Amino acid sequence: MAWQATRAGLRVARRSAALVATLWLSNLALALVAAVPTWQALADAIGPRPGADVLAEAFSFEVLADLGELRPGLVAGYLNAAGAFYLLGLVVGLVVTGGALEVLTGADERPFAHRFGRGGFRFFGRFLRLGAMTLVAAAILAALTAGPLFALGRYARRESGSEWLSLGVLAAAFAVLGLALLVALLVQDAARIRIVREDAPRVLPALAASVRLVLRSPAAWLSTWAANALLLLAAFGAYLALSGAAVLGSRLAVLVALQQGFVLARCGLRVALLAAEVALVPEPAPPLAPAAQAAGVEPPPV
Amino acid sequence: MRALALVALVALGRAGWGDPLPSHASGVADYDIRVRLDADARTLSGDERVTWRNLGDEPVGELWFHLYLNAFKNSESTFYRESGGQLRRDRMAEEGWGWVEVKSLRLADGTDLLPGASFEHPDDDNAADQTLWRVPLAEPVPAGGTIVLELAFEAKLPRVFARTGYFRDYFLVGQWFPKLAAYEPRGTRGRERGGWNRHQFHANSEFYADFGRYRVEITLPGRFVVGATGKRAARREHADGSATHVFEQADVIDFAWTASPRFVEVKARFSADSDVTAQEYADAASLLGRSLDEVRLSDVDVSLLLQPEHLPQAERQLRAAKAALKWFGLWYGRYPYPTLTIVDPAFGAGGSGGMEYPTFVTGLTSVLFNRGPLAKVLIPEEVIVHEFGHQYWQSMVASNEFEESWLDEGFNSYSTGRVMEKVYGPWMAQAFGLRLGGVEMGRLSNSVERMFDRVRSPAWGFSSSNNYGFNSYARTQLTLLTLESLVGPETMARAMRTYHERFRFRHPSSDDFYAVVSEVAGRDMSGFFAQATERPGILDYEVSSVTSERVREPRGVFGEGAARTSVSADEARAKEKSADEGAGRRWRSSVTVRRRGEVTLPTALRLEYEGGVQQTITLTERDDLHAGVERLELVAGARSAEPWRGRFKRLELTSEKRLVSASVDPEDRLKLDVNRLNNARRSESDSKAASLWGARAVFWLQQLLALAGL
Repeated sequence: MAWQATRAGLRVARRSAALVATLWLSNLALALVAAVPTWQALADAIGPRPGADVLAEAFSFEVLADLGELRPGLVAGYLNAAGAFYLLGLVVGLVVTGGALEVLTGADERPFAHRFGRGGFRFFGRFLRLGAMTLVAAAILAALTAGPLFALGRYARRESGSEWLSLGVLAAAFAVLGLALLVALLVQDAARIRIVREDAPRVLPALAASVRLVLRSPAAWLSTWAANALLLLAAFGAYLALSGAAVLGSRLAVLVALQQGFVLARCGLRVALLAAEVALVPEPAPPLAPAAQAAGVEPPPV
Repeated sequence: MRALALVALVALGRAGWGDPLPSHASGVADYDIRVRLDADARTLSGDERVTWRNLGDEPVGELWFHLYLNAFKNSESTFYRESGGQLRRDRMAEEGWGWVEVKSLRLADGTDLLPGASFEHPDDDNAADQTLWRVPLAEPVPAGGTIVLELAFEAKLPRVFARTGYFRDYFLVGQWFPKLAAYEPRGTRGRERGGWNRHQFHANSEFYADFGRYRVEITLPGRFVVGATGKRAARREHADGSATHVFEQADVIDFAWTASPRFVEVKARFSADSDVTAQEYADAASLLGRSLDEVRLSDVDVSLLLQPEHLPQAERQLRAAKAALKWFGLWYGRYPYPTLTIVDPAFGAGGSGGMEYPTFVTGLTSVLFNRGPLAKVLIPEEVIVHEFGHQYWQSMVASNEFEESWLDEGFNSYSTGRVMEKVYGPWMAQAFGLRLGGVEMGRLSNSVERMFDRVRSPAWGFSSSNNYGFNSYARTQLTLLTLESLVGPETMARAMRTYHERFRFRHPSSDDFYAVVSEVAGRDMSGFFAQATERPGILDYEVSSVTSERVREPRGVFGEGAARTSVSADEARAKEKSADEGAGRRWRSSVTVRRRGEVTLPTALRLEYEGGVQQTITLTERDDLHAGVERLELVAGARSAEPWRGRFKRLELTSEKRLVSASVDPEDRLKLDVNRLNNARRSESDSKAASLWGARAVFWLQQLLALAGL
């Protein structure tokens, strides 16, 4: 079931090259805006310093510490920029997801750019409200499920005398936390699909319906996500193996190509996941004909 | 008087006139203790007989005792105030207090000394601190005389916090009995008059005591596995299910013990024959300039008291212990005791880990190190080697940890680093594609922020606890490595060996070490120590600029009157072009070296030219660069070699080849240098590393954005 959905999603992604490329380009553009100044500052800082040449072979804590002292703002500047652009990415991500879902769910024959742009801006406000609600719900869910386990882990570390028990509880706490956040994200995806497909004006009912939908068939949702995650993990493993060889061979162009190849694959998998999730959300009931309404026929359950 | 002369003669003989490695201490304080542990109430009750000898040449009218368990008595002790209840990554439990109380104190003739005793607090005038106890004597102990005291005491152990106490059914019992402070006779550590060296228990220091013989009988429930300082002399079972364990050891400064029913005891024997090869003996003898007999080691019974979940680490922990016994023994002198006990603290009692007592140390590990990705993180090994190293630099060479902590922790950090590198290679930790070297760890904590403290300071006298740690551990390690590079490894090894031999079973000071180094090096090294340990300041040389460009043909107006000529820019460029087509123009280069810190040490400046040609010049601030100028001319011809102006020096030179780079301390000998990255500079940038990490910065930011939904 999960593999079928994933394969179907992958077929959609293959057919949606423009969408995948748009995701990749928007990701790359935002990253470049933040990282290029850091890149330039790094080149100014370590380019003239032979002591930093070891960085071409491997990471060095010592060089990093020395660099941090010579250019105090460099590392912190990059981290701050990354944080700021992550927040910006959250906002831009709403536009991109809206556009992607409009493209994936609509049967509109108009050009891709038109559909993508319309979806992105049409659903932005609703997605923003949905994100805020999901965040609150996720925090409550995490606190209720993982919170007690973390507290138990702290107690076990202090009082149990058993390191295995303490580590086990801590691992369980992290697993539950991850699961809670994952469920929240899947519910958010389902709600987004409903909002786009039904053009639902109100967010809360869509969220509530999506909670019911995901909890009714959690295995289907989780296994679909897991299959996609496994593919992503495999792609990352391949990237690590190949990029290691590229670094050793001092082939920067090859490394950059591999990096962007992986990001492109990741965007493709994201589209595939969205497409698979679209398939998991039932179509809205068609509007009843006036005669049926007059006869008092109930619409089929959704 | 004759007795006094005899004592002095024996002491002198042991100090260096006879066997360079003394086999026994001059016993000053002997302890005969009987103690009972109530494992449920976590209390001790004990009787103690102390025999103290006055080895000085002056009568002594008072005794000073350490009641160090009182450091854990309340939130007002000096230890608690200094630590704030948090120390060594450990936090004191809210109701985990501990204390010790002397119930009776009498001379052998029955004289009661208790009424005159009082708590004193010379270090910080903290009237609430009860860790130092003064006992006036009605009759002074004459020079060469002996006094015998009978004490009874009760103690409540704290819940384990930063060193000692209980956790569930695990007990690590250190600093637990009333113990005499160290009496320093005239001449010891530069004293002009004899006197007690007495200090309260501090957050960062707790060790300084006289040598003696200990005999301790520990009675506790029979289910407990027990380990302690010294050799087990007996074990007696009692009808009530309890057992008495008797331990004895001479020539030590302290006694600690541990008990837990969960301990798994793994025994091994360090063999001086099979654990050390003939080649290793020969190499050590050659390095140190000693005979094979002098570097010969002795067998030691090693007892590892492990938590059951750490059993998979038994082999690696024993290997570390044996490596420590071997290399500390070969380099500094044989380990003189028959036993070594290593304790693995219970989970939840990590505060008692990484501690050192005579013949008895505590390790620190985790099940995460059993196997898997963290198996190559050598923390368990490093802790064992380090704690064992205290046998040499705090127990046998009984440094004053209170006043000169660097002689203990720092010497030990240097020695530990050498053993770890010898046995395990340069990397202390390798995991997840990252690696970290032992010396690198020390250097990581060095920075321009370290300019405020001097190394030779009281343990509680640093500007912060963090600076205590840096100066007492890492900075000393880096200082001794720098010293080693200046005097050479062989001289350094011999200096350390001589220092240990001369001060084994004695109390040296920093000045004693300085004198030994100068003596062995054959030159006055006081200038080095004045900068490195006696004064605050940092060492940081920097090549701040390097330029190299073709010499340009002169242009403009030259001469006067009829002799006036002019060279236009076009004419100059034509000449330059013509020269380039011929033999080529020479290069004019400039190098600026700056000293960012206060410490100045002789070093070298290496200039590298195109084609790989190198020249190295001596860089000292005293005699300028005369030798360097001469050598420069061999290759390039120096135009000028200006003296240091303040804290910088500029070199200008012309050469046939382009100057590619300049490096101060190119061999990385000055480990004290706070920033190695600025030691070298190129005339033209190389973007390879920056491009690689720039690409990575973009890539990881892309992953972050993907998580955000992009």
